[in-house]
Amino acid sequence: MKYEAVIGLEIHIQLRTRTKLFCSCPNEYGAEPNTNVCPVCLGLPGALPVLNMEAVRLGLLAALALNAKVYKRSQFYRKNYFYPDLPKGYQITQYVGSLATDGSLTFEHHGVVRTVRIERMNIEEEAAKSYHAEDGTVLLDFNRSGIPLLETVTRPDLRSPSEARHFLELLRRTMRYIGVSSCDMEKGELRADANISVRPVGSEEFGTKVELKNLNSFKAVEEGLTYEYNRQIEVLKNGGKIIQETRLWDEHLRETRSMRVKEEAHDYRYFPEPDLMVLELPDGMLEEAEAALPELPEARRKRFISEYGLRPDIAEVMVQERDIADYFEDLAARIGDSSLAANWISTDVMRVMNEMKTDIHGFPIPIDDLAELLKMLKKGLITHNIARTVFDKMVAGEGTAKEIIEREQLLPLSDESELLGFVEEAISANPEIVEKYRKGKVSVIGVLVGYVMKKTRGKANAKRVKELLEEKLKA
Amino acid sequence: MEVKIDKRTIQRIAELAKLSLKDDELDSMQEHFARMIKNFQKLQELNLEGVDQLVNPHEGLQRMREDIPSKGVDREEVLSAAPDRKDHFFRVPSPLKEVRKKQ
Repeated sequence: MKYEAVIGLEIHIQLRTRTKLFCSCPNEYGAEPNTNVCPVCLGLPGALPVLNMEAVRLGLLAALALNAKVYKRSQFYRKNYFYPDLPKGYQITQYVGSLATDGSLTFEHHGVVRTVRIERMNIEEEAAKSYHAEDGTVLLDFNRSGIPLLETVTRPDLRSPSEARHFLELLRRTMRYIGVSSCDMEKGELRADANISVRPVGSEEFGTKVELKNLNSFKAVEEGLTYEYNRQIEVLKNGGKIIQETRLWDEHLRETRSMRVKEEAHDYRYFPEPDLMVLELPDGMLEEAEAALPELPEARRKRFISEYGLRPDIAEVMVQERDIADYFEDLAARIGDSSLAANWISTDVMRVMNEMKTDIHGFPIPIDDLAELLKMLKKGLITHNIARTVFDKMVAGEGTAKEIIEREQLLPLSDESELLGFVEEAISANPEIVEKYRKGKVSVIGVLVGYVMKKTRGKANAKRVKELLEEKLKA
Repeated sequence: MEVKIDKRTIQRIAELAKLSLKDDELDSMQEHFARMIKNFQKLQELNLEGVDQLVNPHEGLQRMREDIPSKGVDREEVLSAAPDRKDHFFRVPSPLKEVRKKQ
């Protein structure tokens, strides 16, 4: 029997505000422990929450980007449970009356168009960060307490672990495009828990689901779900039953295991937060968010293919980051050649960014200078090899393309007689190669071309060299 | 509709609130709860058709604040008020250990 996975994700996105959700403490990562705290986020009795408008605005942007239905009125609730990272004894979240519901995200997975429905999007507060000390005690840092989160819950519409990963990557890219979150998984700005069950292909019913936690990277999402998918199929094939439980992905042991926590009463006793009034979106707020919504990555990817004729894989690379996509469009317009721009960005520019561990803003060559270099290449004034050499020198800060080419005399050999001299030299210096060629092994001509290129330090036009060699050898 | 609150329900509510009640305390709680439920049952006799749910007795809507940071409170002052600390952290017992002890 063939099985398929049924996966839903519960995602938490940290919103990029300057302050926390209910107090004015800075929302910043990496501050000294317990320096961004106040009575509200410490949960001191009597402290009252005041809602951050920017968190609502970012939540709206995210909801619009996911095509969700936004509600003019929503409400905060108390979700009651006891844990040391939550000193109030409840988390302020949304419950009945979400910020938005019924969204969706559509993407192409291995050539198949997939739509994942978003059930709800809620604004809620983050808990404190706990560190488990070796002596069994817990150390708490409240800098994180009260940071705004956007809880985003999908319907069980994902059908494979790789699809789940793809969805999450596109969600991250979308959130980064619209600027609501940096979604750095290493910093916990994007977190995902998953529900997964399996069922025979073709079946409409759902199997018993398992909740999977500790998926702290895209790799962990895919690997943890793959492990769990295979485990559940194995259990069913052996006539067993899936137990509804929470399991943890262990990245080192590369397996999921039951949390084995005593099944405590799971009753959050939600009730409307009496310290906060009904949230009614101020007039114009939704319209402003709609106007501020940029072109989204999936739409842009499609446009790059249709408008610029980019190859799908190159288009995918160009839209990874909004800044890269902007840079690409700018460069393509300057040189009047979109595939040349895309090729250089996806190879040389990105290689340098990787090596220097920087983003496009830290890329050392000004866009004017890079455009000048690529225009010279496009006009055939320099060869591809020379362009590469000049590019590396530009990265090293040795000047503009024109300056480097003049200084190092890198303009190509256009003088045919000079070029012929090198061609003749290549033939007389490689008698064995010439003999092989004449006996019919024409591919060895590459060796002779290489000889000329080396002698001219790459300044010759390789295509022309090959033509001249062929003429000479046939004579 | 008659709602009966039995002792097990009281016990469960107490556990959710992390309260441990003695047997006679459970009995007295049961009486309290019974009285409260009775009052709510009285309320339920009212005809509320067409009346909106009242979420908050105060009138008015949520007022929001601008996203402008300000300095919080002094770390030393806050930490010195805590029952236990280690360096610049609050220190608390492990919640997992508590579960283990109970089992």
